[in-house]
Amino acid sequence: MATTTTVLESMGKPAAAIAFPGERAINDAAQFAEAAACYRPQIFRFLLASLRDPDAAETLTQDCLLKAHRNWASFRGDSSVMTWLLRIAINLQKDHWRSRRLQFWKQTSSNSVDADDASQWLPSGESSPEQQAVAKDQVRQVWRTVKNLSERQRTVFMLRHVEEMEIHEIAQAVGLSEGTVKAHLSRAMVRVRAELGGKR
Amino acid sequence: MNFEERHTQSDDAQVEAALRNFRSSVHAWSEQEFVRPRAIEHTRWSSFRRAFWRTIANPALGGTLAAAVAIASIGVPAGIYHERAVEAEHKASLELQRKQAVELALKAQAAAAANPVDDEAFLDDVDSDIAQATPDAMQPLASLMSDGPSQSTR
Repeated sequence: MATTTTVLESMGKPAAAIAFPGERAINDAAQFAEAAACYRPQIFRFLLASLRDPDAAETLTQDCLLKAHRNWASFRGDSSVMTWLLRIAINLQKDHWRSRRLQFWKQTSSNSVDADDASQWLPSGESSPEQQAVAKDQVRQVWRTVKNLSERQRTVFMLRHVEEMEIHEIAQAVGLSEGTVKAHLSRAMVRVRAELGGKR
Repeated sequence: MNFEERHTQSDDAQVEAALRNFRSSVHAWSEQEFVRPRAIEHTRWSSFRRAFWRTIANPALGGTLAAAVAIASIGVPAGIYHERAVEAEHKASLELQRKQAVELALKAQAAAAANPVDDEAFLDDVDSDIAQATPDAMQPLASLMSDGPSQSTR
């Protein structure tokens, strides 16, 4: 990971924000390997947060990178590699939800983690037991809200508040206008605030 | 700053803290899951596929299959080529027969045009061919018939 970051940074931009311009030989396998190694944890994190299923997230991460590898030559560099990869991941996630919805009668085994269980991972910075309890409660409340959001609202919310992406990057990733992204985000935030006891 | 504004700011701080904790929680969970080793679960279908490919990968079977594929790849095109050659030969033979028949017909037509037969001579030949000698008992009657080349007795 450290080596990958160094190599990507040596290309002139920080690894997190690197954009591969179209005029460069982007179909280079070594470049793809670097990009895949660099962004794989982030893709996995987004899919894990969206699906709450570690195995499904792992599978879809691999599918995402496989699809990206197949289409690497056609990547024109209109957006950053991360945005491009996330767009593929979002589409795969949509297909995953759709197939799960269609196959519910098959009683497919799901390793989906409950929202309450997902909140057990706490930031290590909280020192006192009281602070930890408060943090855990807040995380649980956010998870409950996220669970009840629509698919699109959840995707936008995750990209904004977990991946800390800018609005225009989210718009590129989900294929919506910035205004629509803001509207989805606003609705999601209203529900989060309501769950947390806020007034807005 | 009135009470309402202070309250709103307090809410914002609470929401921001909650979102920060949420983000940290997701990151921590993701990091833990990312490095966790996973056992590969073998389903019946995956076992079947593995067994199939293992069988295919067997050297003896692989050699046999390769030989079969090689024979098929040579034999099938050769058979098709042979079948087409026979068919072409048959067609050529028919064409030759047709040409010969046409040539014969043309020759006969040309010969007929070169030697035109006179109708009178032809009828005389016919009469002479069918004329017979008159029996003795019929001689009196034969003398009643008009003279002509057909009345000659043989």
